[in-house]
Amino acid sequence: MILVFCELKEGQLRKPSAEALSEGRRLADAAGKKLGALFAGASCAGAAEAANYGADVILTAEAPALASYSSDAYATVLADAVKAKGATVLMAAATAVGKDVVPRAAARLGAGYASDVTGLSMVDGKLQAVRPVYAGKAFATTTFATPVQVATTRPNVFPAAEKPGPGTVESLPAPTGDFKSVVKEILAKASGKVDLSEANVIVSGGRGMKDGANFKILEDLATPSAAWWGPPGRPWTRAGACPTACRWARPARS
Amino acid sequence: MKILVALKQVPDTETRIKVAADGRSLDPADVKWIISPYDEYALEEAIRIKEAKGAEVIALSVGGDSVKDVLKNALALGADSAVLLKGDGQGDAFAVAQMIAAYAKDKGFDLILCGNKGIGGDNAAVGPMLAELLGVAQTSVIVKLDLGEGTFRAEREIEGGSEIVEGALPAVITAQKGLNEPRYASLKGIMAAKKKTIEELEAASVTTGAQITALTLPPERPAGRKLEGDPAAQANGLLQALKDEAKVF
Repeated sequence: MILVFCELKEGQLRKPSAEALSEGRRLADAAGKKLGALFAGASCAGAAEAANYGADVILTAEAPALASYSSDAYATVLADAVKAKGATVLMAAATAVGKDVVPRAAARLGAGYASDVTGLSMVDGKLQAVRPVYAGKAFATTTFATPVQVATTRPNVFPAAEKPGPGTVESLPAPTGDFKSVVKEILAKASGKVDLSEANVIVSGGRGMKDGANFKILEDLATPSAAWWGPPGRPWTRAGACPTACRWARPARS
Repeated sequence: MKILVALKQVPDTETRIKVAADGRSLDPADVKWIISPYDEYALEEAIRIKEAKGAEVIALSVGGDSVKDVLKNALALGADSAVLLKGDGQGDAFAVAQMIAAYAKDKGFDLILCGNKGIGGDNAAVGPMLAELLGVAQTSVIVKLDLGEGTFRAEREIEGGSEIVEGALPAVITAQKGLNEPRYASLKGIMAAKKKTIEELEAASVTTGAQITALTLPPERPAGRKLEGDPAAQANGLLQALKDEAKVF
Protein backbone atom coordinates (compact mmCIF):
# COMPACT_ATOMS: atom_id res chain seq x y z
CA MET A 1 0.00 0.00 0.00
CA ILE A 2 0.98 3.59 -0.59
CA LEU A 3 -0.01 5.59 2.45
CA VAL A 4 -0.46 9.38 2.34
CA PHE A 5 -0.71 11.31 5.60
CA CYS A 6 -3.27 14.10 5.03
CA GLU A 7 -4.07 17.24 6.94
CA LEU A 8 -7.45 18.81 7.51
CA LYS A 9 -7.97 22.51 8.07
CA GLU A 10 -11.34 23.48 9.49
CA GLY A 11 -12.72 20.13 8.39
CA GLN A 12 -11.46 20.47 4.82
CA LEU A 13 -8.70 18.57 3.11
CA ARG A 14 -5.69 20.87 2.74
CA LYS A 15 -4.66 21.52 -0.86
CA PRO A 16 -1.05 20.28 -0.41
CA SER A 17 -2.51 17.05 0.97
CA ALA A 18 -4.83 16.71 -2.04
CA GLU A 19 -1.77 17.13 -4.26
CA ALA A 20 0.15 14.45 -2.35
CA LEU A 21 -2.86 12.13 -2.58
CA SER A 22 -3.16 12.67 -6.33
CA GLU A 23 0.49 11.84 -6.77
CA GLY A 24 0.03 8.83 -4.50
CA ARG A 25 -2.83 7.64 -6.72
CA ARG A 26 -0.65 7.96 -9.81
CA LEU A 27 2.17 5.97 -8.16
CA ALA A 28 -0.26 3.35 -6.84
CA ASP A 29 -1.62 2.84 -10.35
CA ALA A 30 1.91 2.54 -11.74
CA ALA A 31 2.87 -0.03 -9.09
CA GLY A 32 -0.46 -1.87 -8.91
CA LYS A 33 -0.90 -0.97 -5.24
CA LYS A 34 -3.71 0.35 -3.07
CA LEU A 35 -3.78 3.97 -1.94
CA GLY A 36 -4.51 4.75 1.71
CA ALA A 37 -5.20 8.22 3.09
CA LEU A 38 -4.30 8.65 6.76
CA PHE A 39 -5.80 11.27 9.08
CA ALA A 40 -5.18 12.09 12.73
CA GLY A 41 -6.94 14.44 15.12
CA ALA A 42 -9.64 14.84 17.72
CA SER A 43 -12.10 14.57 14.85
CA CYS A 44 -11.40 13.44 11.31
CA ALA A 45 -14.70 14.73 9.93
CA GLY A 46 -13.95 15.77 6.38
CA ALA A 47 -11.59 12.87 5.76
CA ALA A 48 -14.09 11.42 3.27
CA GLU A 49 -12.92 14.08 0.82
CA ALA A 50 -9.82 11.94 0.26
CA ALA A 51 -11.99 9.60 -1.81
CA ASN A 52 -12.24 12.37 -4.42
CA TYR A 53 -8.50 12.04 -4.98
CA GLY A 54 -8.48 8.30 -5.40
CA ALA A 55 -8.11 6.89 -1.89
CA ASP A 56 -9.01 3.19 -1.74
CA VAL A 57 -9.11 3.31 2.04
CA ILE A 58 -9.34 6.21 4.46
CA LEU A 59 -7.68 5.51 7.79
CA THR A 60 -8.56 7.69 10.76
CA ALA A 61 -6.82 7.87 14.12
CA GLU A 62 -9.13 9.84 16.38
CA ALA A 63 -8.52 10.71 20.03
CA PRO A 64 -9.26 13.85 22.06
CA ALA A 65 -5.54 14.08 22.88
CA LEU A 66 -4.74 14.53 19.18
CA ALA A 67 -6.65 17.83 19.01
CA SER A 68 -3.32 19.69 19.17
CA TYR A 69 -0.37 18.66 17.07
CA SER A 70 2.32 16.65 18.83
CA SER A 71 5.44 15.55 16.94
CA ASP A 72 5.86 12.27 18.81
CA ALA A 73 2.15 11.37 18.97
CA TYR A 74 1.59 12.01 15.27
CA ALA A 75 4.79 10.12 14.44
CA THR A 76 3.31 7.17 16.34
CA VAL A 77 0.11 7.39 14.26
CA LEU A 78 2.10 7.44 11.01
CA ALA A 79 4.51 4.66 11.92
CA ASP A 80 1.80 2.42 13.39
CA ALA A 81 -0.37 2.85 10.29
CA VAL A 82 2.54 1.90 8.01
CA LYS A 83 3.18 -1.23 10.07
CA ALA A 84 -0.51 -2.17 10.40
CA LYS A 85 -1.08 -1.88 6.66
CA GLY A 86 2.29 -3.18 5.54
CA ALA A 87 2.72 -0.02 3.48
CA THR A 88 5.93 0.28 1.48
CA VAL A 89 5.59 3.99 0.69
CA LEU A 90 4.70 6.76 3.16
CA MET A 91 4.05 10.22 1.79
CA ALA A 92 2.85 13.59 3.05
CA ALA A 93 2.94 17.17 1.89
CA ALA A 94 6.03 19.14 2.95
CA THR A 95 4.05 21.49 5.18
CA ALA A 96 5.08 22.76 8.63
CA VAL A 97 3.53 19.62 10.14
CA GLY A 98 4.70 17.28 7.38
CA LYS A 99 8.32 18.38 7.61
CA ASP A 100 8.24 18.00 11.40
CA VAL A 101 6.54 14.63 11.77
CA VAL A 102 7.49 12.64 8.68
CA PRO A 103 11.27 12.40 9.28
CA ARG A 104 10.52 11.33 12.86
CA ALA A 105 8.17 8.61 11.63
CA ALA A 106 10.77 7.56 9.02
CA ALA A 107 13.41 7.16 11.72
CA ARG A 108 11.06 5.01 13.78
CA LEU A 109 10.47 2.82 10.73
CA GLY A 110 14.18 2.70 9.96
CA ALA A 111 13.27 4.08 6.56
CA GLY A 112 15.04 6.30 4.06
CA TYR A 113 13.50 9.73 3.62
CA ALA A 114 13.49 12.24 0.77
CA SER A 115 12.11 15.64 1.73
CA ASP A 116 10.34 18.31 -0.27
CA VAL A 117 10.44 16.33 -3.52
CA THR A 118 9.30 17.76 -6.84
CA GLY A 119 9.15 14.49 -8.77
CA LEU A 120 8.28 10.89 -7.91
CA SER A 121 8.21 7.73 -9.95
CA MET A 122 8.12 3.97 -9.56
CA VAL A 123 11.13 2.22 -11.06
CA ASP A 124 11.05 -1.60 -10.85
CA GLY A 125 8.59 -1.36 -7.98
CA LYS A 126 10.81 0.98 -5.97
CA LEU A 127 10.20 4.65 -5.32
CA GLN A 128 12.52 7.16 -6.94
CA ALA A 129 12.43 10.84 -6.01
CA VAL A 130 13.77 14.00 -7.57
CA ARG A 131 14.42 16.94 -5.28
CA PRO A 132 15.99 20.34 -5.77
CA VAL A 133 19.26 20.88 -3.90
CA TYR A 134 21.71 23.78 -3.55
CA ALA A 135 18.88 26.33 -3.62
CA GLY A 136 17.47 24.88 -6.83
CA LYS A 137 20.80 25.06 -8.65
CA ALA A 138 20.78 21.27 -9.07
CA PHE A 139 18.42 18.32 -8.89
CA ALA A 140 19.18 15.15 -6.97
CA THR A 141 17.67 11.86 -8.05
CA THR A 142 17.22 9.89 -4.86
CA THR A 143 16.63 6.18 -4.35
CA PHE A 144 15.91 4.26 -1.18
CA ALA A 145 17.92 1.51 0.48
CA THR A 146 15.16 0.48 2.87
CA PRO A 147 11.98 -1.62 2.49
CA VAL A 148 9.80 1.34 3.54
CA GLN A 149 10.29 4.51 1.50
CA VAL A 150 9.28 7.90 2.81
CA ALA A 151 8.90 11.24 1.01
CA THR A 152 7.31 14.66 1.48
CA THR A 153 6.00 16.47 -1.60
CA ARG A 154 6.59 20.15 -2.20
CA PRO A 155 3.28 22.07 -2.21
CA ASN A 156 2.07 23.57 -5.49
CA VAL A 157 4.18 21.25 -7.65
CA PHE A 158 2.03 18.16 -8.10
CA PRO A 159 -1.41 18.78 -9.63
CA ALA A 160 -4.42 17.90 -7.46
CA ALA A 161 -6.42 15.69 -9.81
CA GLU A 162 -9.91 14.55 -8.85
CA LYS A 163 -10.34 10.83 -9.41
CA PRO A 164 -13.01 9.14 -7.32
CA GLY A 165 -11.94 6.10 -5.31
CA PRO A 166 -13.86 3.76 -3.00
CA GLY A 167 -12.66 5.55 0.15
CA THR A 168 -13.64 2.83 2.60
CA VAL A 169 -13.29 4.35 6.06
CA GLU A 170 -11.44 2.39 8.72
CA SER A 171 -10.52 3.65 12.16
CA LEU A 172 -7.14 2.94 13.72
CA PRO A 173 -6.12 2.91 17.37
CA ALA A 174 -4.81 6.34 18.41
CA PRO A 175 -2.31 7.33 21.10
CA THR A 176 -4.17 8.83 24.04
CA GLY A 177 -1.71 10.95 25.97
CA ASP A 178 1.62 11.38 27.78
CA PHE A 179 3.16 13.13 24.79
CA LYS A 180 6.66 14.55 24.85
CA SER A 181 5.70 17.83 23.19
CA VAL A 182 2.41 19.46 22.26
CA VAL A 183 1.26 22.62 20.48
CA LYS A 184 -0.37 24.88 23.08
CA GLU A 185 -1.44 27.85 21.07
CA ILE A 186 -1.46 29.26 17.53
CA LEU A 187 -0.21 32.83 17.23
CA ALA A 188 -0.44 35.63 14.71
CA LYS A 189 -2.27 33.62 12.12
CA ALA A 190 -2.59 36.08 9.27
CA SER A 191 -6.34 36.27 8.80
CA GLY A 192 -8.10 36.40 5.47
CA LYS A 193 -4.99 35.27 3.69
CA VAL A 194 -4.63 32.07 1.77
CA ASP A 195 -1.62 30.04 2.88
CA LEU A 196 1.33 30.78 0.68
CA SER A 197 1.70 27.08 -0.05
CA GLU A 198 -1.91 26.91 -1.21
CA ALA A 199 -2.14 30.10 -3.27
CA ASN A 200 -2.79 29.88 -6.99
CA VAL A 201 -1.49 33.38 -7.60
CA ILE A 202 1.10 35.25 -5.62
CA VAL A 203 1.15 39.03 -5.69
CA SER A 204 4.32 40.56 -4.38
CA GLY A 205 6.29 43.76 -4.35
CA GLY A 206 9.89 44.71 -3.79
CA ARG A 207 11.80 47.92 -3.21
CA GLY A 208 9.72 49.58 -5.89
CA MET A 209 6.84 49.69 -3.43
CA LYS A 210 8.74 52.61 -1.86
CA ASP A 211 6.84 52.55 1.40
CA GLY A 212 5.57 49.79 3.66
CA ALA A 213 2.13 51.41 3.69
CA ASN A 214 1.87 50.90 -0.06
CA PHE A 215 1.55 47.16 0.49
CA LYS A 216 -2.12 47.91 1.08
CA ILE A 217 -2.34 48.18 -2.72
CA LEU A 218 -1.12 44.61 -3.10
CA GLU A 219 -3.33 43.41 -0.30
CA ASP A 220 -6.37 44.88 -2.05
CA LEU A 221 -5.31 43.32 -5.34
CA ALA A 222 -5.08 39.81 -3.89
CA THR A 223 -8.45 38.11 -3.74
CA PRO A 224 -9.01 36.31 -0.47
CA SER A 225 -9.76 32.97 -2.06
CA ALA A 226 -6.96 32.50 -4.50
CA ALA A 227 -4.07 34.83 -4.01
CA TRP A 228 -1.47 35.62 -1.47
CA TRP A 229 0.40 38.87 -1.21
CA GLY A 230 3.68 39.80 0.36
CA PRO A 231 7.12 41.21 -0.16
CA PRO A 232 9.59 38.96 -1.93
CA GLY A 233 12.75 39.96 -0.18
CA ARG A 234 14.51 40.88 2.98
CA PRO A 235 14.29 44.68 2.86
CA TRP A 236 10.59 44.79 3.58
CA THR A 237 10.56 42.08 6.21
CA ARG A 238 13.43 43.90 7.92
CA ALA A 239 11.44 47.10 7.72
CA GLY A 240 8.58 45.34 9.48
CA ALA A 241 6.14 45.59 6.58
CA CYS A 242 5.53 41.88 6.85
CA PRO A 243 6.67 39.06 9.15
CA THR A 244 9.38 36.68 7.97
CA ALA A 245 6.81 33.94 7.46
CA CYS A 246 5.22 36.13 4.78
CA ARG A 247 8.35 36.32 2.74
CA TRP A 248 7.95 33.92 -0.11
CA ALA A 249 11.10 34.24 -2.18
CA ARG A 250 13.02 31.43 -0.63
CA PRO A 251 13.91 28.12 -2.13
CA ALA A 252 11.71 26.04 0.13
CA ARG A 253 8.59 27.81 -1.04
CA SER A 254 8.55 28.11 -4.77
CA MET B 1 22.61 21.72 31.99
CA LYS B 2 24.40 19.97 29.15
CA ILE B 3 23.80 21.15 25.59
CA LEU B 4 24.91 19.51 22.36
CA VAL B 5 24.98 21.66 19.22
CA ALA B 6 25.18 19.74 15.96
CA LEU B 7 26.80 21.75 13.19
CA LYS B 8 27.03 21.03 9.48
CA GLN B 9 29.59 22.31 7.05
CA VAL B 10 27.98 23.21 3.73
CA PRO B 11 29.03 24.80 0.42
CA ASP B 12 28.81 28.59 0.45
CA THR B 13 25.55 29.70 -1.18
CA GLU B 14 27.60 31.62 -3.75
CA THR B 15 29.18 28.37 -4.93
CA ARG B 16 28.82 27.65 -8.62
CA ILE B 17 27.45 24.13 -8.60
CA LYS B 18 29.37 21.63 -10.71
CA VAL B 19 28.66 17.93 -10.85
CA ALA B 20 31.58 15.62 -10.04
CA ALA B 21 32.78 12.92 -12.43
CA ASP B 22 30.70 10.27 -10.63
CA GLY B 23 27.57 12.09 -11.78
CA ARG B 24 25.98 12.06 -8.35
CA SER B 25 27.92 14.37 -6.09
CA LEU B 26 29.13 17.94 -5.94
CA ASP B 27 32.51 18.62 -7.54
CA PRO B 28 34.48 19.81 -4.50
CA ALA B 29 36.91 21.88 -6.57
CA ASP B 30 36.55 25.63 -5.90
CA VAL B 31 33.91 25.04 -3.23
CA LYS B 32 34.18 27.36 -0.25
CA TRP B 33 32.83 25.65 2.86
CA ILE B 34 30.88 27.48 5.52
CA ILE B 35 28.85 26.60 8.59
CA SER B 36 25.20 26.19 7.65
CA PRO B 37 23.57 29.54 8.59
CA TYR B 38 20.72 27.95 10.56
CA ASP B 39 23.30 26.12 12.68
CA GLU B 40 24.75 29.49 13.66
CA TYR B 41 21.44 30.38 15.31
CA ALA B 42 21.50 27.06 17.15
CA LEU B 43 25.04 27.67 18.42
CA GLU B 44 24.27 31.25 19.43
CA GLU B 45 21.20 30.09 21.37
CA ALA B 46 23.29 27.52 23.23
CA ILE B 47 25.87 30.14 24.17
CA ARG B 48 23.15 32.53 25.34
CA ILE B 49 21.66 29.80 27.56
CA LYS B 50 25.14 29.17 28.96
CA GLU B 51 25.58 32.86 29.71
CA ALA B 52 22.12 33.28 31.22
CA LYS B 53 21.87 30.23 33.42
CA GLY B 54 25.08 28.26 33.05
CA ALA B 55 25.51 25.25 30.81
CA GLU B 56 28.16 23.06 29.28
CA VAL B 57 28.09 23.49 25.51
CA ILE B 58 29.52 20.78 23.29
CA ALA B 59 29.80 21.40 19.56
CA LEU B 60 29.69 18.42 17.21
CA SER B 61 30.09 17.92 13.52
CA VAL B 62 30.29 14.92 11.20
CA GLY B 63 32.84 14.92 8.40
CA GLY B 64 36.53 14.87 7.63
CA ASP B 65 39.40 17.11 8.69
CA SER B 66 37.92 20.12 6.90
CA VAL B 67 35.01 20.42 9.34
CA LYS B 68 37.49 21.20 12.11
CA ASP B 69 37.20 24.82 10.94
CA VAL B 70 33.55 24.82 11.94
CA LEU B 71 34.38 23.33 15.33
CA LYS B 72 37.29 25.73 15.95
CA ASN B 73 34.94 28.61 15.24
CA ALA B 74 32.39 27.14 17.67
CA LEU B 75 35.07 26.94 20.36
CA ALA B 76 36.06 30.54 19.67
CA LEU B 77 32.44 31.62 20.03
CA GLY B 78 32.07 29.98 23.42
CA ALA B 79 31.55 26.22 23.11
CA ASP B 80 33.32 24.40 25.95
CA SER B 81 34.45 21.44 23.89
CA ALA B 82 34.15 20.05 20.40
CA VAL B 83 33.72 16.59 18.91
CA LEU B 84 34.44 15.53 15.36
CA LEU B 85 32.70 12.36 14.27
CA LYS B 86 34.72 11.06 11.35
CA GLY B 87 32.26 9.95 8.72
CA ASP B 88 30.22 11.15 5.77
CA GLY B 89 28.40 14.23 7.01
CA GLN B 90 27.21 15.30 3.57
CA GLY B 91 25.21 12.25 2.62
CA ASP B 92 22.02 10.62 3.84
CA ALA B 93 20.24 12.40 6.70
CA PHE B 94 19.18 9.12 8.33
CA ALA B 95 22.80 7.94 8.40
CA VAL B 96 23.99 11.23 9.94
CA ALA B 97 21.19 11.14 12.54
CA GLN B 98 22.25 7.62 13.55
CA MET B 99 25.89 8.72 13.92
CA ILE B 100 24.95 11.64 16.17
CA ALA B 101 22.48 9.51 18.15
CA ALA B 102 25.13 6.84 18.72
CA TYR B 103 27.42 9.50 20.15
CA ALA B 104 24.78 11.39 22.19
CA LYS B 105 22.96 8.52 23.85
CA ASP B 106 24.00 7.91 27.48
CA LYS B 107 25.81 11.26 27.62
CA GLY B 108 23.03 13.00 29.51
CA PHE B 109 22.34 15.91 27.19
CA ASP B 110 19.40 18.03 28.34
CA LEU B 111 19.12 19.86 25.07
CA ILE B 112 20.30 19.22 21.52
CA LEU B 113 20.20 22.18 19.17
CA CYS B 114 20.73 22.21 15.42
CA GLY B 115 19.70 24.25 12.41
CA ASN B 116 16.27 23.47 10.98
CA LYS B 117 18.10 22.34 7.85
CA GLY B 118 21.55 22.25 6.36
CA ILE B 119 21.43 24.57 3.40
CA GLY B 120 22.27 22.92 0.09
CA GLY B 121 20.97 19.47 0.95
CA ASP B 122 17.87 21.06 2.50
CA ASN B 123 16.70 17.76 3.98
CA ALA B 124 15.45 19.28 7.25
CA ALA B 125 15.51 15.74 8.59
CA VAL B 126 18.40 15.20 10.99
CA GLY B 127 16.76 17.02 13.94
CA PRO B 128 13.46 15.09 14.00
CA MET B 129 15.24 11.81 13.20
CA LEU B 130 17.73 12.38 16.01
CA ALA B 131 14.88 13.10 18.45
CA GLU B 132 13.23 9.84 17.48
CA LEU B 133 16.42 7.79 17.70
CA LEU B 134 17.10 9.19 21.18
CA GLY B 135 13.44 8.83 22.18
CA VAL B 136 13.13 12.47 23.25
CA ALA B 137 10.85 15.43 22.53
CA GLN B 138 11.33 17.63 19.50
CA THR B 139 10.22 20.81 17.92
CA SER B 140 11.48 22.37 14.72
CA VAL B 141 11.89 25.70 12.93
CA ILE B 142 11.75 27.77 16.11
CA VAL B 143 12.13 31.53 16.45
CA LYS B 144 11.95 31.75 20.25
CA LEU B 145 12.99 29.43 23.06
CA ASP B 146 12.35 29.57 26.81
CA LEU B 147 13.59 26.88 29.17
CA GLY B 148 11.90 25.98 32.45
CA GLU B 149 12.75 23.31 35.01
CA GLY B 150 12.99 20.26 32.77
CA THR B 151 10.66 21.82 30.22
CA PHE B 152 10.81 24.01 27.14
CA ARG B 153 8.45 26.45 25.50
CA ALA B 154 9.22 27.40 21.91
CA GLU B 155 7.66 29.47 19.20
CA ARG B 156 7.68 27.58 15.95
CA GLU B 157 7.11 29.01 12.48
CA ILE B 158 4.17 27.56 10.56
CA GLU B 159 2.30 28.58 7.40
CA GLY B 160 1.13 32.15 7.80
CA GLY B 161 2.01 32.46 11.48
CA SER B 162 3.53 30.66 14.41
CA GLU B 163 2.58 28.32 17.22
CA ILE B 164 3.71 27.73 20.78
CA VAL B 165 5.04 24.25 21.50
CA GLU B 166 5.65 23.01 25.03
CA GLY B 167 7.46 19.87 25.94
CA ALA B 168 9.77 18.04 28.28
CA LEU B 169 13.54 18.05 28.28
CA PRO B 170 15.61 16.39 27.00
CA ALA B 171 14.63 17.60 23.56
CA VAL B 172 16.00 18.15 20.08
CA ILE B 173 15.15 21.64 18.87
CA THR B 174 15.92 23.06 15.42
CA ALA B 175 16.56 26.75 14.87
CA GLN B 176 15.09 29.13 12.32
CA LYS B 177 16.30 32.55 11.24
CA GLY B 178 15.02 35.13 13.71
CA LEU B 179 15.82 33.08 16.83
CA ASN B 180 18.69 35.42 17.65
CA GLU B 181 21.47 37.47 16.11
CA PRO B 182 24.66 35.38 16.04
CA ARG B 183 27.78 37.06 17.36
CA TYR B 184 31.25 37.18 15.86
CA ALA B 185 34.15 35.50 17.61
CA SER B 186 36.20 37.84 19.80
CA LEU B 187 39.98 37.91 19.62
CA LYS B 188 40.04 36.59 23.19
CA GLY B 189 37.74 33.75 22.16
CA ILE B 190 39.88 32.89 19.14
CA MET B 191 43.02 32.80 21.29
CA ALA B 192 41.31 30.68 23.96
CA ALA B 193 40.05 28.27 21.28
CA LYS B 194 43.62 27.56 20.19
CA LYS B 195 44.27 25.95 23.56
CA LYS B 196 41.26 23.65 23.28
CA THR B 197 41.45 20.36 21.44
CA ILE B 198 38.89 18.77 19.20
CA GLU B 199 38.02 15.25 20.24
CA GLU B 200 38.10 13.00 17.18
CA LEU B 201 36.03 9.84 17.12
CA GLU B 202 35.18 7.37 14.40
CA ALA B 203 31.48 7.70 13.56
CA ALA B 204 29.41 4.63 14.40
CA SER B 205 28.61 2.33 11.51
CA VAL B 206 25.10 3.01 10.33
CA THR B 207 22.53 1.89 7.81
CA THR B 208 21.80 4.03 4.77
CA GLY B 209 18.26 5.27 4.28
CA ALA B 210 18.33 7.01 0.92
CA GLN B 211 21.06 7.81 -1.54
CA ILE B 212 21.56 10.23 -4.39
CA THR B 213 22.03 8.31 -7.62
CA ALA B 214 22.27 11.30 -9.96
CA LEU B 215 22.90 15.00 -9.60
CA THR B 216 21.85 17.07 -12.58
CA LEU B 217 21.84 20.75 -13.40
CA PRO B 218 18.66 22.48 -14.53
CA PRO B 219 18.31 23.15 -18.26
CA GLU B 220 19.87 26.39 -19.49
CA ARG B 221 17.49 29.28 -19.38
CA PRO B 222 16.35 30.10 -22.93
CA ALA B 223 17.49 33.41 -24.39
CA GLY B 224 15.25 36.43 -23.94
CA ARG B 225 13.07 37.76 -26.71
CA LYS B 226 12.67 41.37 -27.75
CA LEU B 227 9.25 42.53 -28.80
CA GLU B 228 9.37 44.83 -31.84
CA GLY B 229 7.06 47.55 -33.12
CA ASP B 230 5.38 50.61 -31.62
CA PRO B 231 4.29 50.51 -27.96
CA ALA B 232 0.79 49.33 -28.83
CA ALA B 233 2.13 46.43 -30.93
CA GLN B 234 4.62 45.52 -28.19
CA ALA B 235 1.87 45.52 -25.57
CA ASN B 236 -0.23 43.35 -27.81
CA GLY B 237 2.67 40.98 -28.39
CA LEU B 238 3.34 40.75 -24.66
CA LEU B 239 -0.31 40.06 -23.95
CA GLN B 240 -0.40 37.30 -26.55
CA ALA B 241 2.77 35.74 -25.19
CA LEU B 242 1.46 35.80 -21.62
CA LYS B 243 -1.83 34.35 -22.72
CA ASP B 244 -0.80 31.73 -25.26
CA GLU B 245 2.74 30.76 -24.27
CA ALA B 246 3.09 31.44 -20.54
CA LYS B 247 -0.62 30.80 -19.97
CA VAL B 248 -0.74 33.08 -16.94
CA PHE B 249 -4.32 34.14 -17.67
